Amino acid sequence: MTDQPTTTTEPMLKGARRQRRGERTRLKIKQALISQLNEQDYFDLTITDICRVAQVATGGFYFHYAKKADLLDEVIREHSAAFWAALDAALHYLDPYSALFHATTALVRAYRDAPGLVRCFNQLAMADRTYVDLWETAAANWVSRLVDMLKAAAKGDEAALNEANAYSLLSFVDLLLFKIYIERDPGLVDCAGGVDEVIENVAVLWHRALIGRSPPDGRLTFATQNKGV
Amino acid sequence: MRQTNAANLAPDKPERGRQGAKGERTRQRIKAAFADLLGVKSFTSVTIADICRTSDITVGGFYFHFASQEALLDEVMGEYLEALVGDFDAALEGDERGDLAAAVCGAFLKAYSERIGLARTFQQLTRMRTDYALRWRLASEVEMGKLAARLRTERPDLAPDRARFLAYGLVTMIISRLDLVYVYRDRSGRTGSTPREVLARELAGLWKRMAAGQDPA
Repeated sequence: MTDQPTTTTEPMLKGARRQRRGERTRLKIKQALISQLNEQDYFDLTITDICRVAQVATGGFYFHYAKKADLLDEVIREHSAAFWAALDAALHYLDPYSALFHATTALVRAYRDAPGLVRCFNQLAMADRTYVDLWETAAANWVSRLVDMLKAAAKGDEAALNEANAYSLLSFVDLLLFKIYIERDPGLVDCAGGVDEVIENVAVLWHRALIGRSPPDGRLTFATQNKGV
Repeated sequence: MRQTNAANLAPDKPERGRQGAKGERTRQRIKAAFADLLGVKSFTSVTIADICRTSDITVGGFYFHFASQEALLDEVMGEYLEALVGDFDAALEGDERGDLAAAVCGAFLKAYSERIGLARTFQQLTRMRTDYALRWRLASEVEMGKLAARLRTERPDLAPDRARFLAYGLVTMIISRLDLVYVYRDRSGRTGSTPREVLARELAGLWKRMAAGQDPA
């Protein structure tokens, strides 16, 4: 009778350990996909490739995912959640330039961290409405809070400060950073300067387009060194 | 796999089809039918059977003129790109005192609104395939340089490389906005229903704000 507790907890411990190992395997598979997308196109990537990089048996893959698309879907949704959380944090700054600067920084970081994944997401969004919807819903939500915040903070020309404009300007920033960090268009990369210059100049363009004037000179580092737009 | 497509795209194969006027008319009819189909279907789902039905020719007739659907796509996209870059160039070569913002925005707006199917397909291809991204890059590079030079005449304070950066920024602004309206076809109506004249005014307005430079101290 007194031995009873030990016999019941043992399988539980075993189960917990197995679960932890299962999560580790899942994580390894996801990391393998993200790193492999930097080398290879998603459509050419096989489950065998992913398993080789993750050092997981093919059976281990199928224990966690039914197919390659399910793995990608999970990775995209997790990254997307982290990405929008980082953009949300930018809205806690009270002045417009700080908010746009930190939002630009969050975008640049996301693109530099997982360029292959971002490229893959963009390819899929061209063909699959599900991924366009995923972006649009989150973007519209974020933009509407950005506009509220800017309206409260900015005393500028408010003609362009509407949601349609703000929504399309987020796409602009997204596409420009995509061309610099994912497509790596040499004509653009050569004139863009280092990452800090890119962030400042993109944030300045975003600020001008939304609010109708440049951020105060005192806030800018590169504009005063003849490296601004 | 994807890279091998680039080799197939090079138009070094002998051109198919008869050189005569009738052959040329048929060829044009096939291209027009394909462009129409791209207005309603995605380029990945258009089939040769669709093209033959729409242009009222036989499958044999299709292959008499084009080696493959990829060859047809290549030719049609090449013509679209040439027309767009030609209009972009004309806008940049225009009157020095003319409205540069309106002229350049107008060139892109024309391509998207008058050839929706082709514009959408071209944008999809540049995003999905590296060979098409490269084609756009090569075709637009000279124009970006010209635009940068025009921007510097208006803003002598701009360093040469930052004038280029601004040129890329402005063109990217136009494309991103037109993509929302014509390529992604946002169903929420956030950007989709804008009439062309309103869109032209908004684009030129955004251009002027972005290109305006620092406020005088």
